[in-house]
Amino acid sequence: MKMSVVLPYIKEFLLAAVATLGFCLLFNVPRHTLIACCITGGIGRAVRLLAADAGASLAGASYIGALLVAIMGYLLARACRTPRMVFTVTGVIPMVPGVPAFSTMLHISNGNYSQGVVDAIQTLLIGGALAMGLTTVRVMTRIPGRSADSISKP
Amino acid sequence: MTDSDSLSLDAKLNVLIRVGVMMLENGAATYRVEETISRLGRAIGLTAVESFATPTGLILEGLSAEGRLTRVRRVTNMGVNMDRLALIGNLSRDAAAGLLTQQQIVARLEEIEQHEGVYSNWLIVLGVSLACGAFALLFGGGWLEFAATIVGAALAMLIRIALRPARLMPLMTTATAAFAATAASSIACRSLVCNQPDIAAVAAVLQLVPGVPLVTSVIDLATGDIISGISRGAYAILIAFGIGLGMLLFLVWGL
Repeated sequence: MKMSVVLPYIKEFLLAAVATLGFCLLFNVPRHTLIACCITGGIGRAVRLLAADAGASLAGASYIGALLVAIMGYLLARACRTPRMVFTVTGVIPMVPGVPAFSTMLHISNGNYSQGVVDAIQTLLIGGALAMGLTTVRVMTRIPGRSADSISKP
Repeated sequence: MTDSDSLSLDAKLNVLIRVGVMMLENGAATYRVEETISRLGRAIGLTAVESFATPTGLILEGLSAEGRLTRVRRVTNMGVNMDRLALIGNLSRDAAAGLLTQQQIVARLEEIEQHEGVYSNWLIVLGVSLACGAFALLFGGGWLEFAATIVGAALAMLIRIALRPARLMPLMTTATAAFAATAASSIACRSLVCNQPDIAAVAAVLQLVPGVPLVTSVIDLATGDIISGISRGAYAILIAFGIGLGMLLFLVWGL
């Protein structure tokens, strides 16, 4: 494989990792998880780009990216003995549809509703895909059992 | 465990409600809060605990040989500190494994409550600015947009830190920061003569994205905590509108 083929993915990985790092600092992530968080965020976006280049729609690619972030979050949370949220929240933020949301807002505020609706749907699809990616892993890996000892009798 | 070591029912519930409120303040998922309370409650010697956690309040009831008691406490949501969540996770794991006496659990909890942020404010400003700069490059901007984004993002982050003690409504803080980020990055873009000021503005504002409520809302809905899930989602949408409002204030005032 030629270097020029891999280069965009490496660039995407590094930039997304830096973006993740900023949010890690903002959310006061435990120190020992910093690097793992950055790798998670970087891989999420690099895989999304890979999927998009392979022909997936941006929403479909986002689903795959979020799915991977969620799986990595599950594994890393066990390895680092840290809440899974630490990895999933910071890992998924680089994929947030910022540009579509912005152009939705701009078009609608200019009265350009038809283009605004197109962008809004794009935003919702990507956002929904990210949510579904996280949920898929969540519902497969864990059923919360919190009411085992609940107070049921008066 | 000796009798002298044992806390009263009131003190036990006090520990549990402090743990729960701290978790909710820092954006933990509802099922995790309720699960931690019930695990810790058993470790601390309660016969049974039932809790109902929402993003704005926590109700819990405990049963022991002494009788039964209910506690209610409001939750005001300010800032996310995931390190605290991790420390509480360790505490509840150790307590459930029977490694800690009741006094030690209380001592560890007090330690965690004293625990402030892991990173200094300057490091956060630096990291967030670089992160937003990285977004500008990801969105197809060049190095000029990167520079303009960093200016806007750093200013917005400084404003957020400065407004923290004022305890304003989150919507207000968000809109102010979004306005500042858009204004600063657009003005920087003009002086640097870069041709995509929109990219710089979007990237600078992305630091305000309500990532924690968005993700916990999804988790809550997935685990069946519908009330928490919907209210967190609504909160995230509100913040998103705050971002839009702040940006539009500048973009509509015109340049």
